[in-house]
Amino acid sequence: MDRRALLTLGTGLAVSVLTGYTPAIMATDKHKGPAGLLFADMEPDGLTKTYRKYRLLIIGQRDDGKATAIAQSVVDVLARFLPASRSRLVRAEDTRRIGVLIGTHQQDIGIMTKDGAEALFLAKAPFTDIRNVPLRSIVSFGSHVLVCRTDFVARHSYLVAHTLVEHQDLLPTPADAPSGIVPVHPGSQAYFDPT
Amino acid sequence: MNNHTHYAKTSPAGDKNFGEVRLQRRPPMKSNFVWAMPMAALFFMGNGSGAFADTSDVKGPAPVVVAKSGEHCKDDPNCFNRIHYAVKPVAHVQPGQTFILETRDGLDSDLNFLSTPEDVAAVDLDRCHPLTGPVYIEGAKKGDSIEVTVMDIAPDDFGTTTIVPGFGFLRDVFTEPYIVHWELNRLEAHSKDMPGISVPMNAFMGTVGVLPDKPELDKWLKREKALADAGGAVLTPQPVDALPADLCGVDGTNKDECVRTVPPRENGGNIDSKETVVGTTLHFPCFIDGCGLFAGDVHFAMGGGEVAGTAIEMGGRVTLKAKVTKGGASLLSTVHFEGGSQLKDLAPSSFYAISGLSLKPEGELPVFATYLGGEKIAPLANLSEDLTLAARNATLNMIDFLVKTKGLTPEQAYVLTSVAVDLNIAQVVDVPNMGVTAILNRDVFKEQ
Repeated sequence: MDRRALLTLGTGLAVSVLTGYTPAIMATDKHKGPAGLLFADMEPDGLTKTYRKYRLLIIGQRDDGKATAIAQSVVDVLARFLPASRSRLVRAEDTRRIGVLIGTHQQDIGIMTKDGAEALFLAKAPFTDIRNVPLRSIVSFGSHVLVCRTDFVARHSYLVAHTLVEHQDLLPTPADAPSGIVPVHPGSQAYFDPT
Repeated sequence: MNNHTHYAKTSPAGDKNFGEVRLQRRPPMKSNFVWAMPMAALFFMGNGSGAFADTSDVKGPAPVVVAKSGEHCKDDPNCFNRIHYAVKPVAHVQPGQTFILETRDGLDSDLNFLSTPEDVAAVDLDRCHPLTGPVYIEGAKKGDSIEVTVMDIAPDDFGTTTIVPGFGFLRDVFTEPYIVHWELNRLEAHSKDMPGISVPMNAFMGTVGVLPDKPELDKWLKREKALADAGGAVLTPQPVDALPADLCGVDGTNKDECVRTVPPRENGGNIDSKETVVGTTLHFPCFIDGCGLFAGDVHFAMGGGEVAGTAIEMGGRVTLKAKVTKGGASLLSTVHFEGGSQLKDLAPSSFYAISGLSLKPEGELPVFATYLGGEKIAPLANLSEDLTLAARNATLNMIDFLVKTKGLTPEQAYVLTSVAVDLNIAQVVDVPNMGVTAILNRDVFKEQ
């Protein structure tokens, strides 16, 4: 095997490890005991996940102007001050779609209303069929919150929270430490409460 | 003796009941010279006066319409998106009776002319594919087969071709979301996103099939789980947004058995055979009584291969007719279809072709082979008898050609290849290099 082949294989392996890709393995919930559901998404060979690791996709929603404005501002701030995130806006139809995309591992991170995030966490309407989602909050924007799952990388959560708080003058609503029913993501917790 | 059935329009509720046409059987008129002569005289006299009505008011038997209702599949009692033997029929038709299925786009999407790549990235792939039916074919029993003839396909006014991250034949090359918005009519599709291009209508049902019985379904579940365990490209049952919800949803009685609609199987399903246009007849084995015919995911046009993962996707109104063949299932291990001159009609009047072989750079592991591991494959510059690699190279070569000669962006070229380039097998014997030819329909290049 020549040097180039070895390097290529090594790079491929590194990408697989870094993206946490394991084919056809289902995520399970850890915050409420055994998962009631097994989720699989449209990523048979891991490329969707790899793409989402390469780009930080922030989900907004078309029927909530404030959510979309916040999401767009978050994307802009991250693109400017955390360029390695390669952030990009994704626009869901409504809050239900955000819950489905995050709950079934089709997307990782999005802006929801605080009430919507709590409904998703508790599997209440309109999310009664999306259960045991290991939802976590990263940053609060008052009526809205940036949410993800527990498998979102802690260091990334820390950096996102840090960047948004540092540049909150560029956001339509100031970024702050999240509160409420949805637990704070460990990375975000480390930023807001380093003790 | 004339045994043909004659139909006449009647209006039992008087002339006020314009919306309802009832069909009533009446005996055929006997040939009789005494009657015939005066009638013939009347005909010739009346012919010059314009007193005769034309045929536009004379109707045949009314078709059964399996109508679409609601915004999405979940709002529509005639729609489902998972395959299971217990999905209940929504309509019954007699053999030979015309029926119409109103279908939704394959993503059950909310995309429209204003949609952007940001919207494409948020499509919910759990909703693939919204299917209309199932239709119970009277007289069809388990072990029979049905012949389904495509009588007509009426397109919606709008369609899309999208590149969804992580999906499609070149998903490792085209990683960003992209959308082309098509304006459709019965002749052609054109788009402001693809200037200078008009794609002729060659519509067909991307997904059409019949329901399995329990042994058949169990067989699929077992083999797909084994492949998933081996790391293969398998979509396992997903109950969120699964329909019918009482059967396949999160609290559904059989949620772990409701298989996804993406792969075609022995029952048909997502066969994406572009040749199954109007006039052709498809043959399906019946696994259950009534056969349980369903259809959806209509494509306005598609290149053989559908390389971007989507064709020109649209909703439509599909008119079908079915016939039962007793004991016919024994001949069908999978779907068959037949036709007349349709293949000639699909052929372009002008084409350009590029070949692809099973070659690759040393060290590269093709994305479709990752589950096999890279130890043997990656170092090789030449794979053995690998049609998929040959097809990949033919596709890449065609995209490169379109970019260099037609001024298209790579994304436009990928979309055009997905809707107007056929991947044909050249040969499967010239070891080690299998050959695939990408054939471009040059009729699509038109002045707007």
